[in-house]
Amino acid sequence: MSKLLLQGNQAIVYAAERAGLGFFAGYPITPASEILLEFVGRKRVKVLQMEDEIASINAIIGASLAGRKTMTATSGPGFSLMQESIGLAHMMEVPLVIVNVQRVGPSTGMPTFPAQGDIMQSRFGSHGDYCPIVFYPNSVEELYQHTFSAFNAAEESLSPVILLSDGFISHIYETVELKTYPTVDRTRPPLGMGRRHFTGLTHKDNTKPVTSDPEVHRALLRHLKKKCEDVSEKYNFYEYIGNDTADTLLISYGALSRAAYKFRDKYALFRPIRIFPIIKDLKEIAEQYESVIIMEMNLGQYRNQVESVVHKHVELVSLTGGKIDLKEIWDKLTAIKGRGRKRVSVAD
Amino acid sequence: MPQRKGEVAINHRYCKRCNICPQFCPTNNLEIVKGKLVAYDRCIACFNCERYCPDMAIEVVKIYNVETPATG
Amino acid sequence: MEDTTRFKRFLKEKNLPTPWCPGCGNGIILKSTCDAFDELNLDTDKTVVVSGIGCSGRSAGFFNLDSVHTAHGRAIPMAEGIKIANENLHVVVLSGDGDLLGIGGNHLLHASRRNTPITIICFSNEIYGMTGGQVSPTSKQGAKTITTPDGCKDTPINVQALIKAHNCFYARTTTFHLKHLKKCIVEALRHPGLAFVDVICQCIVNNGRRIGFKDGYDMLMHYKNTYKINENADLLKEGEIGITKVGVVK
Repeated sequence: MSKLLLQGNQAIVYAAERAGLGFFAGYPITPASEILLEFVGRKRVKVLQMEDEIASINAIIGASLAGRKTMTATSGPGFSLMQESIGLAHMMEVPLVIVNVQRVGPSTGMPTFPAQGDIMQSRFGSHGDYCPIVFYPNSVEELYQHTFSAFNAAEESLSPVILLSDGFISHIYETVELKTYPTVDRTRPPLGMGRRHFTGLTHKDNTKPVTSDPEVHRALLRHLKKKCEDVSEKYNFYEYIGNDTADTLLISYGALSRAAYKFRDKYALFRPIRIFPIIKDLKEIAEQYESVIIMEMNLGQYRNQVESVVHKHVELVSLTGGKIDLKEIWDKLTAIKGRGRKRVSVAD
Repeated sequence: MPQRKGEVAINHRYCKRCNICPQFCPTNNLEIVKGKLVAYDRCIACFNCERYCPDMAIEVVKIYNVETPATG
Repeated sequence: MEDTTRFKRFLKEKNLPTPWCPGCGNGIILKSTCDAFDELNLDTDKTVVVSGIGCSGRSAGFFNLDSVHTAHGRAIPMAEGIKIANENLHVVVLSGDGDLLGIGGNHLLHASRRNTPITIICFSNEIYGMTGGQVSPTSKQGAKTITTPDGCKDTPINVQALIKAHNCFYARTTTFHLKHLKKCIVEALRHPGLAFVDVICQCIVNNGRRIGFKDGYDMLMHYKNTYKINENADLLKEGEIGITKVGVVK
């Protein structure tokens, strides 16, 4: 098996191609541009550079309906543009993969610096209710592996799956073993082979929009939620490093979780890889510890989600501005300890 | 001289009484009476109503010739 | 007797009646499109209809084909994705002027630049009908709508110039000129690149009756009197309808 020194963004492309990707549409954006670039010249994948991210996601929805496995890649600003169509893809039950390489926002922010500001956007970005499956690996090797997971989860759940990365993981070089993971094939016939009507309106069995029956809508929502939750159970990826001597659980994910390993002597560590739907085991794990701290490169987007699962107060260490500094992290962690169990978070 | 005659069928479930076909009809064969489109027996099978109906609610279903006595 | 209802094989009759207002021209375009499909005898397994949002967006659901009803303005990129993913499919976009030229204007600009082989049928009724009659990109200067009670001050979009600038197929027709309408759609479907058919159609309830028309018939008669067919034009003038020659504009 061959080993290659790959950049995070390249690893996504290598994996996507091996997972059966047939169509890629994208628009250049720092720090995700290398994904579009890496696809150029790969014969098995049709590549389209569109006029914007909205066109990109709609083109891949179309191509996915036409029977191909599809993907797009973007960063925060482009991801915001895609939100409406992500809701559409959930409603039409279209499998696709969206890679979001996060950068510092809001707005143009600091394009070349990493951030974790799109956590809520990944979960709640589109209007209406839906239940997306979101992966957020923390190394190049894992990006490679979970690109397969994202494609498989998308095919199984017939829904868009989001693969989060950040400017840090996507731009470091690490060795990757080019393993081939099992892939899931499309079962739904492609466009043309049916008399279906795919619509963003509330509908029943892909035949006709039903826009005035609450029961039909409720049944549709239940179906969309259940299938994603059921499928996500098969992709229960997380990393838990227990610590008998520690009384605190430190939760982190993505780029920042690499820094957390430095504190494994003092804390128990938990790192979700499938960040949404939230790993259910987290509740049980958190119960073993007196307190829980979450470390994020945002102002606490995942904290509220975690609190809703562990049912206790979660302290926050927030590192914004794209800077990961061990001393700063340690200072903030000890500041929390020093304040005991008071409901105060350390944000900058 | 034979005269072309026709017969229309109206699908009242589709018809929205938009009043397009009665005005296209050259023989005033169609009329909206008490909120319902009705057809008389003056149809000459010109197909204007069928072609211009936006709701696919009216169709010429039968065409036949009748001998009319020569006049004057 | 010639069967004039053969087009119905392209319709899901159980979904009828259409949700459109009495006198609306959308149904005429829906019917003519099916008629054109029938004339070309398109393979129902290889034809896909894509529509956007608005009154016209509902048209896709009535075709007895695989159809996609997209987000507002995004019919064209989705059609492009379908076409490029499977080149054997005929991809037909049916949508309104607000959808294709307003919110989706950028996609039309770039799709024509790429010359993706899709057929676009634009229901150009000069109004945002579904939302109650707001001014649209094709509303004529001076048009009174609920958002421009003193008359629209902007010039309508020159979609012909946009399409012709990239040497794509452009035809303009109306819902009155039925034979011409069908011919335009047939020619557009035969065209190997991007084809745009601009169908001027009546919206009586939210546009016509505010600007002095009595009913749908009245508007159709207005089209009859206003538009003259010009079959040999490089560029159509105002008041002309026809199929413009492809490949003449530099």
